[in-house]
Amino acid sequence: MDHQNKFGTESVGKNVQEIQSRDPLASAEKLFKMLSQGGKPVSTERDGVKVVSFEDGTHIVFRPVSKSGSPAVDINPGTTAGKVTSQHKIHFERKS
Amino acid sequence: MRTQVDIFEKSEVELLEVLKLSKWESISGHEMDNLNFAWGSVIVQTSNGPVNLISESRELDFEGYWDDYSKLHLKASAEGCDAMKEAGHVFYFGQGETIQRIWLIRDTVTFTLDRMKVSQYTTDSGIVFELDGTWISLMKSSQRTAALSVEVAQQKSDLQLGHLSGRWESNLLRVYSHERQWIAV
Repeated sequence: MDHQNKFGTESVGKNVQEIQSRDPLASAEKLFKMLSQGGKPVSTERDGVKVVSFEDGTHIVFRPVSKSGSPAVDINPGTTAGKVTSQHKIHFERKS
Repeated sequence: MRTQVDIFEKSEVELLEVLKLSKWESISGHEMDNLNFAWGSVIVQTSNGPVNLISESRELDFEGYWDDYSKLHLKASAEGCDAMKEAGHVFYFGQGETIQRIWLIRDTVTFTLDRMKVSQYTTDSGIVFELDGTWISLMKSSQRTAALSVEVAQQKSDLQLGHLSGRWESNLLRVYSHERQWIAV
């Protein structure tokens, strides 16, 4: 996590975070799985999109592909988690 | 300056007008185990009929790159309400109280770079109902996803109503200014 308690590093010129990986999809799935522990899966109608929610309203969203082309994990803190970190989205980019 | 406006249509606001002075009955939501979280849909039942607040997320490219933005819609429909009730996702606080006033919560965030305005985003982030002795808000829980949250308070000042700064935080490079309007219906 960076100095703002966000995963990844700030993406240049964008209001999102970024993590470089040799296997972006696997890395995104791994982070989502880790952050999902103890959460409740939410049924969604969008293919491949996974959501878990927690009692304080925190919810984590995994998108296998976004329009930018990369997988993404979206962290949306609720009342308790919001004291630790703020809302942020992490794009997983292929390491060159 | 690039702009994006995601606000309710006039016809949607008219659905709220119909609810004024009606009796509040219940509120239910998809996956709403508690008031902190519902996914995509919250239905308010009143003596003048239901209104369904729908939140959906879609990708836009107006800040110079693709990102997710949630948008709210209103429908005079109780579709899905039975399933929500069967799942226990229904709450009866405020039942029997009269809806006295209704507000839209409209937020605007302006992105400034080197003192130049680059982009501006205006969105309806939620709705607040004032009942006889209860305040109830239905708000986007996140500005990126379809999540919604509900708050109940005895007075207006006790409502927390989420804010935009979590999503758009200023730093040394980027400056975001936030403005919130309460618009009476």
